Amino acid sequence: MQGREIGEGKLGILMSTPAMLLIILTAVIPIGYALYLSTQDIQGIMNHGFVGLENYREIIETGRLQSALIATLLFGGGVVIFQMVAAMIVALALNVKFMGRNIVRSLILIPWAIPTALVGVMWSRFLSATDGYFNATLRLLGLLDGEMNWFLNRGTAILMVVLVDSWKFTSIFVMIFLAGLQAIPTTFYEAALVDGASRVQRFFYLTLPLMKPVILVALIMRTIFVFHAFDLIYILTGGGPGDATRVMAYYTYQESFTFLRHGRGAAVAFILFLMTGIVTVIYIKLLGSSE
Amino acid sequence: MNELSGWLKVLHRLVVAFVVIAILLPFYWIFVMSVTPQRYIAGQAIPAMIPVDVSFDAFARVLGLVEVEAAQAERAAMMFRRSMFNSVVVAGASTILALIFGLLAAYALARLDFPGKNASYVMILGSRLLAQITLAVPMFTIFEIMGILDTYLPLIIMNTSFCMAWVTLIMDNYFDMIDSEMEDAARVDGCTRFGAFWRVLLPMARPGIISVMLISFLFAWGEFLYALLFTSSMAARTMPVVLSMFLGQFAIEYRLLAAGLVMGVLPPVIIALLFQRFIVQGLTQGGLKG
Repeated sequence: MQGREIGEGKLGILMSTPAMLLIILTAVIPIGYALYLSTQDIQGIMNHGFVGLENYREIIETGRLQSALIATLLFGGGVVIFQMVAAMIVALALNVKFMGRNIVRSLILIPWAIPTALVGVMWSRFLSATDGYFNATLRLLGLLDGEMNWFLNRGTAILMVVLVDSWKFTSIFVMIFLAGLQAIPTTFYEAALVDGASRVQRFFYLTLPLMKPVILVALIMRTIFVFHAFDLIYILTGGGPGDATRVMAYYTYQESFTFLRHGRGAAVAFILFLMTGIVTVIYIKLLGSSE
Repeated sequence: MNELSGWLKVLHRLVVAFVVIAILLPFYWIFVMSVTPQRYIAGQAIPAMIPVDVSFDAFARVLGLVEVEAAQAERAAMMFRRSMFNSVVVAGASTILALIFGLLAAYALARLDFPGKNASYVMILGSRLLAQITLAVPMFTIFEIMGILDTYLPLIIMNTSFCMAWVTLIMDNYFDMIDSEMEDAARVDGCTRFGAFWRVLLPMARPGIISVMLISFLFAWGEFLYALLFTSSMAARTMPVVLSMFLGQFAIEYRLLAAGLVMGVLPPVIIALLFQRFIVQGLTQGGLKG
């Protein structure tokens, strides 16, 4: 019986080959090619040849890389902190039994499921200075008088991008945290109750430490994906005002596809790859040690 | 164990109410915009908060059921219809291919011992974490050389690759959780390894497969960056790109834009509501432990 059959090793290679070919075509080759492109002087469709690290020098000397890093840090920091805290609050709220809990839980998934670009289009309309629903609601509540263009001011532009991003992506944290909370055995809480621990004490001394691995993994995943943020920035702010929301991904896009400097774009893309790589290595290390 | 009392209960209800309103209000606004004539919304400091002069005209126009007078609006409606078709093709093809490639690879990783297994796993995990834009810059040039820009192919290739990584990682995990007893029994009965995978394991893994299928579809349906960069005409432009192009175009009424948004979000909303359990399981189990 075993004799007629193809060997385990061979079958393994055979079955993983389509996947590996695709990964090589769409991930390995492009990263290598990006590294090559980043050493070329390309303007539009003209390639003026090898320039070494000139592209890297230029993006640093013009200060654009630094400004993109700062924008990424502000946007990313805002997104990660806001969403983690908000998600923890919502997850705790949904972990309590109440009427209609299952309905609310189903609703949570909806913002996550709809395309990010459509979230951007929707909110771009709502946040319109003159006739948007967001400002109209503020006017009705007496919080705003006249017009307000959120995207003309650096601070409010970042704030709005963070809020819209959170509208969509907080839900994924809520689901992860909720799963984590439900995995905590109720006997732990019963024991804490017997010891007379208050609700706040139970959260800080029991829930939070037990949730640490879940929070850590979610934090790292979110950090990686914050580097990817493009759709909302492209639709809501176009990187503006000035360079306030020109995060790394958007800056890469601009160099390559707006200014058609594919060499410089590739240099930014490669730096972004290294950043993702560093966080990924930390992620794999942590995952490895927690198991 | 978690009975709330007093002010804490009030606070809890406030949080829940805020969450529900924050999620639903934008959808309500979009709905109002889609059925209310332009003059009640455009330029109004307080646009119509409840539907006024309700008509489903915008939907009929977007779907091409009625003739549109203005040439630009007619063109927009046509572009939207075509983009919905393109989105269905791209998302459908990517989902199917990602499932085939991913399930095969997941089985190999979960059940078989083969040379290069660890490297394969790391490459697949790593590929999922790369930023789309990092790949878009070199891939644009590669697709240009291949001469397939502005067709479905680059979109299907990139979406398949990303979704396949998801499928592989989640299903590898899922297969690990299923005991191989049944497959072993089938093999004793003369079934080949592949036969045991195909006829025994896959049917048992159906909930997991549904979950990764839906997650893949949702991703491909909403994918924006590749669709923006690798297409340049209506030949392959997908729905998110076309709707983003409608923004700020004076000739396109809010009603039309809103009707397009309603139709663009409807499939994901339905999937999220109907298959909530599957998706959450896929996301929290496979996605988290990676």
